[in-house]
Amino acid sequence: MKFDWSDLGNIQEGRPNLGDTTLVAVYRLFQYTLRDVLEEHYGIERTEELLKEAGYLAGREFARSQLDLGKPVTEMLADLQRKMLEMRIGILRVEKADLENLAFTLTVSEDLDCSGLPLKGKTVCNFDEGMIAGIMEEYASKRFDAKEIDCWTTGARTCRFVVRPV
Amino acid sequence: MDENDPNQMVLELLKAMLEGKNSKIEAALWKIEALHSPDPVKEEIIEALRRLGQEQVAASEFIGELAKGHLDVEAPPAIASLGNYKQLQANLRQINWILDRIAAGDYGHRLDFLGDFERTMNQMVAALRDKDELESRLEKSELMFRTVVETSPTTITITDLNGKVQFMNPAGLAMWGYEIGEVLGRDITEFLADDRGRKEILNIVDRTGRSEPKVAEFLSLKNNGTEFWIEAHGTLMSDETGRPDRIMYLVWDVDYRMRLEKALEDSEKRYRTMVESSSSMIFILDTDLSIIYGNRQGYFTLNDGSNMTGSSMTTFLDDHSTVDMLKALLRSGEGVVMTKDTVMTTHASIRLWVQMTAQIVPFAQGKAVFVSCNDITNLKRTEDKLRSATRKLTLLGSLTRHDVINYLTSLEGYLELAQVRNKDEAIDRHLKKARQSAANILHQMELTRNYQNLGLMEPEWIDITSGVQKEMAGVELGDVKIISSLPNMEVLADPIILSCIKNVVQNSLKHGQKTTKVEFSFLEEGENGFLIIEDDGKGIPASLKEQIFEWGYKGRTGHGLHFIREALSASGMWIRENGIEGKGARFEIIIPKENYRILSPGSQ
Repeated sequence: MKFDWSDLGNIQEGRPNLGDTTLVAVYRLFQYTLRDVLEEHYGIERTEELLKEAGYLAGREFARSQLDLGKPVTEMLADLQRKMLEMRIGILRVEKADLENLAFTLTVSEDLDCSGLPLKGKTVCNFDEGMIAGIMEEYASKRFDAKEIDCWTTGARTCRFVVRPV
Repeated sequence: MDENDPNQMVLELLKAMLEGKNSKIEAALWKIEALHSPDPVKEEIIEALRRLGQEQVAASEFIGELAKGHLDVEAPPAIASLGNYKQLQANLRQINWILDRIAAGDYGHRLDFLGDFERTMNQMVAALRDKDELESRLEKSELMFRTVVETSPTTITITDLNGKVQFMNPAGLAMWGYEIGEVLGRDITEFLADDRGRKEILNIVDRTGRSEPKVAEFLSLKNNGTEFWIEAHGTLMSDETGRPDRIMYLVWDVDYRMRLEKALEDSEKRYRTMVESSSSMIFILDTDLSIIYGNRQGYFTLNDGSNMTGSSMTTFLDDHSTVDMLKALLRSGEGVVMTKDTVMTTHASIRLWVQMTAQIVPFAQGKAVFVSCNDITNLKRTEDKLRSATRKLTLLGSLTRHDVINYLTSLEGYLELAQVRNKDEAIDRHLKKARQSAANILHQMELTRNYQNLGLMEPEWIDITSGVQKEMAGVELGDVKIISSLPNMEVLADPIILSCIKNVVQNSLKHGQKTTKVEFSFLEEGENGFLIIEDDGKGIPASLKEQIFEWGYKGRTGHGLHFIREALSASGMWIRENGIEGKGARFEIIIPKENYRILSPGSQ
């Protein structure tokens, strides 16, 4: 892996006046234009795979730099919940948990990627899927898969992910 | 009403949907399943209605399950109108998850952005967390106190207000020798050995709670019947309403201390009696030599029986050197004992000779001088008289001896003249015997001179090693060798000891017959030192080993071995012969440890 959290740079130093936040629209502008270009070059399916892969990379780095991975899983999830709130990523909630097998149903409300998007008849939070899987994999040291089953774009008010070890 | 009328069928479906009954909706849907219209708009309306009906049925079933609390129910897919219900389901599931975590004791999860739920839930979690922490602290606190009580070396026992035991810690059980089952319900008074204790044990508890807890000592009773002393301290304990309902006793085994105090008291009484009834004057002096304590004999002898506390001992001492001795003692510290004959003057100006013994003793937080004085005035007077009598006797002896020797000299002269002129053999024999008798009288006179001087000299430290060398220089040794392995040493004795040693050597030379060497050596054994003088002459038969030291033993000359033994005895020493006949004589002078000292090499 080439990406490292430090590659994000010193934002405080770089943006002393504007600070470390921006508009959600700007973020989405970046993501969805990139998505369009990728879809045009590689097709929808491959683009979704690439976004998921990028999310996975982000998730692993996020877990390494932002979470205490030595804690029990429930405490780690509580920390993740607080951290996602603090970074304005979304409101993470645990719907169901099989702690023995580390299988979860998680929801993310007010998700950064999709909340408020027009109905598209399919889920679009591919980056989130990869990110959640990356976080869990970094925590548990085994492969995970995260699948979005509800999304704002499918008419749901909250994104729902089924997360389980592969 | 025509049931096959398309308008009627559509109306029936709409009514069923408005009514919200799934069975009716499904029945209406079944009827329009095959309904189609050649008009595309109408066909689209029919299709939309059919889909709406189906979604309502599916949504109704989903909401119905949610309403029953079945949060695991799966939402029907792709029904946009169910978005809010699905979010509600997600939120309820989240609440359920948090409740599960709380049940597992995990309070780390928050509920955010859920309106009233958020506030109530988070308050509840915070309250539960506080309660849990409080319980945890209480549990730890209880565990800590239980550990303290269980492991405390102090006996802790709790009774009801009537003294019935409800609890006793292991220290108490071990102290009294019971199992826990034997003490529960027992009356606390049963652990006490006398009526006084049984009466007072409940009274040491302050039931008003206003005064300091009382501590009292009791004679207690072990399970095996042994009596021992305890110290007990009782405190009231209260129930949750603050009403006193129990008594906690802390009990210590103070038997050893009590017995020690009693022994100390007895000992103190015993020594006080001894000191008070002693015929010696006893004083304890402060470091400025003022009197802190004096016994009855001291007060009566020096001050007509009046208390002398605070007076300075120096006012009673005539001799400044004694005051200096006491001051020197104070500088030397504990363990040093000084003794001195000195003169004290009483309150009535009577001068007394006393033998004073002084030493430093611990006193209060510092030190004091313990002084014991024995009145030796009469002894001193007797000594003076004895010295005077001895002087007279010596003078008388000297004059008598001088006169007798003069007369003997004269007698010897006349006997010699008579012998020269005499021609009669029988008379000559008598004259020879008379001259021999005169010579014997002269010898006896010499012996009396030596005896007269014996014991008159004060013992002093004599350098034996060089002294022997000097004495041997004056002895006619002939071919006999003198060998010495004596260490550098001194002996506390009458100086006549060197003369005695010389005489022993002369005895060896005279009677040893085949003596070629005389050897000096010294060895230590037990409490004595042995100065050994041995030769390689004919030795002394076993039967004569003691006889040679007797007064009447034949062949005595000069000081004689009898005189030597007497002289050494006057200095606390003894001499014996311990050789082997045929191999040589071995004289051992036995010197007590305190009467000799080995000097370091080079100090000679």
